[in-house]
Amino acid sequence: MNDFSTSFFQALGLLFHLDSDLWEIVGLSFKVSLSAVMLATFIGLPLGAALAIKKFPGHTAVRIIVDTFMAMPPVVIGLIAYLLLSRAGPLGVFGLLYTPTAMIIAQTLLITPIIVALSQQVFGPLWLKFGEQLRLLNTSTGRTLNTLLLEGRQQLITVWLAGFGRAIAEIGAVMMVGGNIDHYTRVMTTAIALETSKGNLEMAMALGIILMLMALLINILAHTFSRLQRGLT
Amino acid sequence: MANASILPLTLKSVDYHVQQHHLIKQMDITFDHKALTLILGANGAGKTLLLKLCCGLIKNTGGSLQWAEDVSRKKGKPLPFSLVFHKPVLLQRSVMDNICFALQDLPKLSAISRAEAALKWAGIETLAEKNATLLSTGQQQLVAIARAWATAPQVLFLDEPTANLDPDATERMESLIAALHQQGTKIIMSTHNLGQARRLADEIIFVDRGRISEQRDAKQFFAKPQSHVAQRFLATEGFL
Amino acid sequence: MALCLRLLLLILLVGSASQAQTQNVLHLGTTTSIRDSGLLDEIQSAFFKRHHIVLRTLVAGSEQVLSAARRGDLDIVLTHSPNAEATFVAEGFGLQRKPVFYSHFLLVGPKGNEAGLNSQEDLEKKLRAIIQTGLPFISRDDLSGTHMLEKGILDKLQLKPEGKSYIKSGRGMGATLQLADQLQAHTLTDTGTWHNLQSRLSLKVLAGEDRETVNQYSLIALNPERLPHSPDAGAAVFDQWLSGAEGQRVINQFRLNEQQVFHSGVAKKES
Repeated sequence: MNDFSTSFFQALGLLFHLDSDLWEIVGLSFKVSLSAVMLATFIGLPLGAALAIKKFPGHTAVRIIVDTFMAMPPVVIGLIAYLLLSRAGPLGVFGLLYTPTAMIIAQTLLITPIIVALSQQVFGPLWLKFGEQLRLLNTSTGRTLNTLLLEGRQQLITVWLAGFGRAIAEIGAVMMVGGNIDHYTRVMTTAIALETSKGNLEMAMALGIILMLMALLINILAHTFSRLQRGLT
Repeated sequence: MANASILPLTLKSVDYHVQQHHLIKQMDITFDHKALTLILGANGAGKTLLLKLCCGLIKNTGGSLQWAEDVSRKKGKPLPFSLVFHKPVLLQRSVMDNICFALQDLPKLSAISRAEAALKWAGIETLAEKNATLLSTGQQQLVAIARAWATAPQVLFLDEPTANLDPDATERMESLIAALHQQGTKIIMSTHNLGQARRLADEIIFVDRGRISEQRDAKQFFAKPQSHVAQRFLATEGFL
Repeated sequence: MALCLRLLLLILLVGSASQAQTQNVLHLGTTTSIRDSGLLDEIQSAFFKRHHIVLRTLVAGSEQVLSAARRGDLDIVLTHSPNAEATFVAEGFGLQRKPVFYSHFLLVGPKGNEAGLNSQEDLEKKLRAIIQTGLPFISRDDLSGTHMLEKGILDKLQLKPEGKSYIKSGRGMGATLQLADQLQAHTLTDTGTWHNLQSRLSLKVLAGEDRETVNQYSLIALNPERLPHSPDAGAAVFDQWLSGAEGQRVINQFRLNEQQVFHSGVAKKES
């Protein structure tokens, strides 16, 4: 059996010598999760704002759907995406299963509800605070949205960070639709699972260290932004 | 103020309900051009609701609310009236930017010079580049009233504008309000501060539990209030 | 405005993610034993050198691979579960089953003398002894080739293992060996995975070194008429390469612990 501390130092070696396999995996994780969060924000932020501001017809239904998806574990979301994207499924003609694009889609499905719910929580109080004043100033809808986005920017960045953190750390969804294919759909989390099961602890630990550092960084940023927000109001 | 006057504003049997609660009951009021009107009453009487109804922020559930002219404007153009809240609502930007925000219909340079004029009028030029949300409440309220001045409204509503201010700041606000009145802007203001009402009012509208109890000339009101509730109000506030 | 910037960034990212599609790509489905033995890496690089086609390999148990093929998500499969493969072809999803190389199965377990298991007995008898004595045994339980072999033997011996000593891992070969190592239990494994991982495990071979229990790998070309979408043209190229002289040479030259583990062609005695 390997001595764990030997593996640990070998892991550090992999990190510092810029082992190309390792950084390829890290790079893909970033590409997939960043893309997913961008898409999720693009879809989810306006929806969260709409839910917070206007009781449009069907808003309760939307909120229930959002909450239901949020409660689902990533692997179930992965399963849904898998069924949709398989060639035997409704979106099969695009041939997306086992590609990074499928992983982006699955993670977007995973993260969008979180963004919607969290941004609604941000826009709600913002609208309560600024809504009447903006209406009195006869501000257009576009400008209102922009103003709310600016006023809530620190909090919204925290929302974005929460989404990203969730995406980069999950394994269920990307495993299902990506298939953990070598040099193609292998990301940090799926690689850790695989390498551990093969006994390659150095690689697994190296990736684990990166993920932990990332989680740390995200939390530091989130704290900094929320303190900035509180400091100004 | 080159446009036609939007006054008088007439409320006829105006009701306002929230679910089952009947909060504003059958109000009949006429707001004319001349008087500086103070809306007086205890907390919870309905003063704020009345102001919001007049501004169109909430919709009356019964009766009619009629301005002399159409008050709607295209989005981006200022309305012909303004409201100063009792807690100032400013954006996380410079004071200058906050005032310019109200002047979106003007080209940039005109907006800036108008904003500068507003700051000068309110006596707060030194605050121009400061972050508005970091100012004291009194200073923020001055910014709010300067912003309202900048759009040259025909009517300025104020909802207990000095409730959270110290005596110095209150005095400054009151002198600006009086100045606006002098310049021809109709002032409709709520307060529960009798001293302030006495200082500023030409006309008193007394509100009690969602109803108008009295609408009278201020001097007459303070000399001898007609309604029972007003009498009790003056008595308990220490006025004889 | 901020939204526009983000959209642009998004397009760039997604664009670069899919730019890799300009290469020639083939979706192969194969089993964990081929990956965990290290043979897959050899096959991938040798095939790419020769034909410049990238193998995107989905690795799972044999039955899982065949399911994915039925759904049209793969271009060609390489598995080692003869009965399942026969069914697959009979159902019309596969054109034909082509045995291409083989290895063997081993019975492994903890070092140390367990209830007389060190005596000279064949694999099936030892397996029976383990099950009947209630010694811990790990089953793949994932309809993989290895699992099907295990089931075949148990059925033949009319054994129905139950209870806490019969552990179902539901995982690949390498992972199952790791589990056996941690729990100090017995399991069936193919020679490829065993030889690749052996040095890290504190297990030993109990039976199978006589090479009596064969592990036959077969390639199955898929039938375009039964599938939602035609397999990539590269499938035929891979088929010819692997079953042809070059592919067979790669198989035979593959060494683990200086031993030849995989042998080209068909085993004389197929299980």
